[in-house]
Amino acid sequence: MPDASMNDVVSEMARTVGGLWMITLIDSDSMVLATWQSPDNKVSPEALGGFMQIFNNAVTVFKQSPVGFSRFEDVIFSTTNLHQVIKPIAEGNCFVVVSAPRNVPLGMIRAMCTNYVSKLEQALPGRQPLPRKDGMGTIIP
Amino acid sequence: MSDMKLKDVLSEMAGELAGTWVIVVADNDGMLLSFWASPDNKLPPEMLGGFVQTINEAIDAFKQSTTDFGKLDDVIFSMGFSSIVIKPIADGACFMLVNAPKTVPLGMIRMATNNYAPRLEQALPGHGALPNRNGMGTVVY
Repeated sequence: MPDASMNDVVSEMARTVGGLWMITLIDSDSMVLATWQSPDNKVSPEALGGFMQIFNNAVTVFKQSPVGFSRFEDVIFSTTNLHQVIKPIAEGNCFVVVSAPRNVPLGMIRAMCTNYVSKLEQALPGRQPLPRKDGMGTIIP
Repeated sequence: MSDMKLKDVLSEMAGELAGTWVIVVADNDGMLLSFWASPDNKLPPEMLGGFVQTINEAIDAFKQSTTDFGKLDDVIFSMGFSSIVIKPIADGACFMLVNAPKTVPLGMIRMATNNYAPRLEQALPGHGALPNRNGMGTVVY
């Protein structure tokens, strides 16, 4: 049941911005949790696995280095043919990966990812509602 | 002499990106070629050069994991309080890295990195000694 819900959310995301190739939700071990693909998509979501594994290691190194002084919001790879937006959700336990051609505005992709974070987190299997925290990380009763 | 030129270009670039903390040019081993840093910058430029090397592995994996994705234009890391834009220059032999607070618009940083990349390439030591190549890597006389 939660998986159907995740696919529903991912499909809903795809409808908000036209022209996307793929939206995939993967965990930190690069296992695919949910995916949506357009007929134009040429890369299987599983093919992202190897890349994401190495990327995830780079993120871990980044967090541990003095450079990584604050939390990641998103990472964007732009090539001559596409944009790939990677956004950590659920405290970095999962990632949303969106691939789109260059003619899709990057700002629209980013805004969509940001706006759907809480919906995606709520759809994760076994996900408990997160406690509210203040800016210092203290739980607000 | 080349380093002086690089520094001049970086200073000019920084002048157009008010509020930027640091701009670094490093090779793909993370060795620093030149940098510009504002008085507000708290991160040693050498450390950012090392970060470039760390993510270079992920960039390589990205190139190998997919087909027909084209040449990498840039990588953007958005964090809670700051952004880092990394752009390969000189066919990926070097990288330009800009670290700025969130108050500096990301679009401005991207535009500046795009517009200054050719000038930085020309200021690289020994750049004039390289043969001209077309998109397929063939030497053009």
